[in-house]
Amino acid sequence: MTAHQSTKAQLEMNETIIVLFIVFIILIISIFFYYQYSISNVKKTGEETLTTSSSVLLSSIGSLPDISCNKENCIDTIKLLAFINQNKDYPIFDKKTITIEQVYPQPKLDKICTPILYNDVNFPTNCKKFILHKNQGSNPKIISTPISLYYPQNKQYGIGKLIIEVY
Amino acid sequence: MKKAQTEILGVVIIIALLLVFGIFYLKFSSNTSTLIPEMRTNIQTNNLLQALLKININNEPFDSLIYKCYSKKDCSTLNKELPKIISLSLNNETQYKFTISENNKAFFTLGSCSSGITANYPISKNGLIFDTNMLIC
Repeated sequence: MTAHQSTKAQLEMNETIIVLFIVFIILIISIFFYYQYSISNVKKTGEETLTTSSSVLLSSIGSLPDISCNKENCIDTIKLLAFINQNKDYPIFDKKTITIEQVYPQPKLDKICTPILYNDVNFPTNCKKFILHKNQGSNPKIISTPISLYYPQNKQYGIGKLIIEVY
Repeated sequence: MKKAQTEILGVVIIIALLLVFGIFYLKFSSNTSTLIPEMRTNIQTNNLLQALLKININNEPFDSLIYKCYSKKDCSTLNKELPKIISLSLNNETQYKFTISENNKAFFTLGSCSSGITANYPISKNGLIFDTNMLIC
């Protein structure tokens, strides 16, 4: 092999190495972007699943036999308080804070409704919230819907707001 | 520049372009579903209408207030109280249109909103059938 041939072969080898290097860099960048995309996709799917389950809960909570009225589509407040008192838990409540806020008749006090307040003559305007399930967390996604509330002691209906905070 | 180097540069440019197009495709190909927000608005609309129709406003049942508004043209209680109740029940920025009609002729309208999710519920009072319609945009 002559000296000229050896230099040419070295140059070609260098070229091949550079091409391989560039190809590897491109491959690494592609893998990086692909994983970034996959991770964001998984996060998005997780959030969508939580939102879907919350939306399902939004529609189904009014028909839970533990708290719903017997025939109509509404929430019986006495059953609701009994349910809260029993500390019952459903798997679908997981990672969520579920509150029912009284809207109409408008409450005069911003208190959590308890059996003691329920027995007061001023009920339902003496308290604002029924807390069905509490969960701690940060940056919750909040969804809500109006809901019909039934007050059996005076056989009247009111309007509440079912608020679900998803963590 | 040598021919081989130019070709390599060409290949690199093609790969880079393919990568850029691939990334853009992946970014914009994911179509966000509108089904869930629509489902939620549907629940809100139906629940709000059903809840409204059961309440008493100033100790008068809702159906009596509708009948009073239709027969005596006295819609003052509905005009005064309903906007407050609806805005408290929905989020402040939510737009709505609440209509009550008899024989397809609307005699009471509240709010303004052109397209969205709608819920209907008929009410019978003193032999008349009133059609209540709630539209949330």
